[in-house]
Amino acid sequence: MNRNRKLLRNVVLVVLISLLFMNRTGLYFSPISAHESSERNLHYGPSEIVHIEDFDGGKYLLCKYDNWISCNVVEHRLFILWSHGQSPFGRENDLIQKLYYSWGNMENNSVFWGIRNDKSITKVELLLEDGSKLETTEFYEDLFLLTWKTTNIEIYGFTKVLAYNSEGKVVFEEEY
Amino acid sequence: MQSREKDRFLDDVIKYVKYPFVRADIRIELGNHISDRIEDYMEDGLVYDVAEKKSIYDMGDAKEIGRALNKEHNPFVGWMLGITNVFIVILVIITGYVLIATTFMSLFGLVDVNDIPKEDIVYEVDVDKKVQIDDRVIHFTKLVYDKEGNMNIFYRSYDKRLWGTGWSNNSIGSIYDELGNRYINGGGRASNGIISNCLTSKRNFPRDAKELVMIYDSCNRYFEVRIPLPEGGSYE
Repeated sequence: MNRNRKLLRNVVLVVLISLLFMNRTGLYFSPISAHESSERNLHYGPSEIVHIEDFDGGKYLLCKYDNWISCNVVEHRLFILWSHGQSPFGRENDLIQKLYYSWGNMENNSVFWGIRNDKSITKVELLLEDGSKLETTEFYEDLFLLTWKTTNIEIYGFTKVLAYNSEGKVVFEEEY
Repeated sequence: MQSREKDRFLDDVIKYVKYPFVRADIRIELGNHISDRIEDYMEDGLVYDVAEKKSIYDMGDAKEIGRALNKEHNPFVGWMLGITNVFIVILVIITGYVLIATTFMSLFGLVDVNDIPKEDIVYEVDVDKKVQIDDRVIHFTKLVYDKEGNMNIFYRSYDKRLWGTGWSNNSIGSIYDELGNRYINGGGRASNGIISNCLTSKRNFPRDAKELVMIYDSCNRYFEVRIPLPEGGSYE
């Protein structure tokens, strides 16, 4: 076998073994593939992705599926690959709540996300444990997302959740 | 026999070969070739110095030979071959480890019906029921009711797709008796791997229950499995 053929054989072997490795370890070429696969493996979805936001080392995917909402997290691996999602499973939207939300953190990346069931809500505000304030006026099919970096989360990472209408009146408030 | 002229010729050829890992082989091969010719000439009656000069002359221009050999042993192809060889070895080791580990877990997972001592078993039921959620098949194989009132449900789960990742939450939903009482407390474990051997145990399951009902109803997926139990729990 000449050297060019050997090289071709090697390239084919590298591709095949790499695909096998990726398959067995839950790695994908794109964040969307990683997300979709994680949903299917946990028997959820397929959901509609309404917003994608980057964070150090990964992406948050805000999704809707029937009555459920989710914020899946896919992480960057081995320079060009993506690991399957860490929290693909959604929460059933509680329509009675004006603002229905959840939160989580991974290493020092924290996330607060949810849905406005009261359409008059135009701003969501979060008071953090360190006294600082986060807010968003951006909604993606009523879903919202707030992210921040933290080094020392005591309990929740935040102390108060507030939602305002367009006139600036508080329409939802919850303390922690 | 060491020869400066032969070495000089070989050095001249080798300096045109860019790919370092073939230089030694080329040097040996060309050196042997020259030595053979020297011997032939000496057998014809020439003295060593003359035989060597003629042999090297016969070889041709060192620069031309060097360039031709460099073309033959393209450094890019050579480096790529070397890199891919190393990469294949690393990939085979890592992937092999993953495959062996997952196969080992499937075959010798922590979940074994024999973990429950015979003397603690009140009754056991052989089951052969399969359900499917998405691509995952759940194969219920055995129920073991023990003296502590635990209903132990043994099952295997695997992905139908050949390229399926093999991971899942291995959930079998909620557990009820025939009267609709739900049993929440308990535990479970799974071996994971390509075929995951799983166990779900529910505490305080009544000994005289007539039926075990498993209902999976989550995110638009549904299955229901009903397994009759030995009457009065007296089955041996």
